Amino acid sequence: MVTAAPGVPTREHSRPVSTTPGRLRRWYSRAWPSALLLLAVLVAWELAVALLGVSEFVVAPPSAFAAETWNSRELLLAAAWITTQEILYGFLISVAVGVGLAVVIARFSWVDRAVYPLVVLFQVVPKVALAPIFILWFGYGVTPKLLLVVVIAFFPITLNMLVGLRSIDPDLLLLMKSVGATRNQILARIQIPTSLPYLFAGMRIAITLAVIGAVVAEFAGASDGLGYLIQFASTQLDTPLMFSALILVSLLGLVLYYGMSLAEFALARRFPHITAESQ
Amino acid sequence: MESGFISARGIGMRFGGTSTAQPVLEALDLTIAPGAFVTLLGPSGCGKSTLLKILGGLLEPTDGEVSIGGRPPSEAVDRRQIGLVPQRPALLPWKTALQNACVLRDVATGKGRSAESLRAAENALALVGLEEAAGKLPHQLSGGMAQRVSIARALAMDPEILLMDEPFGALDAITRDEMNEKLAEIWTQTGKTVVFVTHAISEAVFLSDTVHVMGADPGRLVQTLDISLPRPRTREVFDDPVFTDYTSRLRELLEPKATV
Repeated sequence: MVTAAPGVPTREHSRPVSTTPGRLRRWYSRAWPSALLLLAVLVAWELAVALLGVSEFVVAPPSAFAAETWNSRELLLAAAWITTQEILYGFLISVAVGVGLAVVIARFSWVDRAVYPLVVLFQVVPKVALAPIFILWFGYGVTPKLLLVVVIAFFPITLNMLVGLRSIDPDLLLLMKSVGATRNQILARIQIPTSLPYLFAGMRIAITLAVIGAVVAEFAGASDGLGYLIQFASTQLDTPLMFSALILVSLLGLVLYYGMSLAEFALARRFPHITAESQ
Repeated sequence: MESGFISARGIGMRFGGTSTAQPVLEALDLTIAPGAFVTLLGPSGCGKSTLLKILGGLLEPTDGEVSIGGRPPSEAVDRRQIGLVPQRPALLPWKTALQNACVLRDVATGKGRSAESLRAAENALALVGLEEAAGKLPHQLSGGMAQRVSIARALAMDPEILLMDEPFGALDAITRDEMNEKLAEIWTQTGKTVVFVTHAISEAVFLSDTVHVMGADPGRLVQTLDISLPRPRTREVFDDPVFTDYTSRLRELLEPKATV
């Protein structure tokens, strides 16, 4: 090992690679203060409803919707399963569409010129407002839900993936040209693997948008699912059930978001730059 | 062909395409013999990296012509004659040192990973003294080691010409001296034609048969100096009075106003 003169940075040290148990411990130590705060808020909520005498039709105390959740567990779980499927399938289609679009835009400059401005323009359309139109076209089945999830969720994937595909190291590009590499070789060997951390950042945004898309589509017209349940409960003035469904849909979003992070860690074993660059 | 393996005639380069733009290179002639170690030495912004890319067919000059072995440089690229070593290692972070050493060869041959390409990469890693680190990922390598993988990546293709663009510019002084010795050794063993770009005078003298001194605004050749120090050269050569004579002559050529 060489030692550099004072003031000269030496690069003989290798960077430490953080291990999964280390990450878990860090996550755990970060999570408990917020868990404690959440608990305090729930206790304060319960007390406030009881002491201020707020009507249960307006705000249900945590104990009420905890009981409601338990009593209606079969109804809630069945609805949650429907919504989960809509979110997951919609999300998978969004990833396929988002990645496909980004790759085609990055690969063919005429697609970039023709399609990309329209994709950006499409973003000014408030996607939520499309829900009634999709219901009109495709009825009350699963198609309009998937469609709304996709139109809401694909864009951050496309955008992030595109940034990743274009963030190619100019030296690497020159190296590939020095051996006469084709555009497709550069895309497959350099650009797509390089863009993986960007893709995951986009997917993490997209999964939360997918939850919104599915719930909004159910609001607009559905016969099942958590979004439908929230709206049904509101017509029945069943505030505890509304809160139960709301909490369940939030939990669903949380689980899916952390599921994404888990998938990211799994893939980082093969592509270490995914986490190395986000640290 | 023996006298001029790489030959450049009347090279001019302007970026932006407009004829009013200040040229980066102007009316530059250069001949490089096969198997020679040639250095382009000059201040920052004199167009030496641009000239290197033009010589390797990676950049089309605005004026003039380059030929490699009597043919256009684009053919040299197609026939895997050009091995490029850029300023930064530019390794793929998800591939091991050995896999990185395979990358250019695999792309150049157009076939997938084969036992043959793995063997070539292993040999190239051994040549740069890194066989121990074959399984390491780039973030586990030091700057000097990463740059040696970059050299191995070029050598694995067995190109006739190595184009090196300030490959040791980012290394600390001690690692840089080690790398220079290693490169001199590799050059002796492989007999490649090397075109090396640097702005470090002692590095240029230590490594080269011929040093082409370049000036800026516009980029042009100022003088050509043959270095007739005996080979193999080790770090003892730094104390040789002939060596210091060369370095002071080159320093004067680079800074004509600062003559003592």
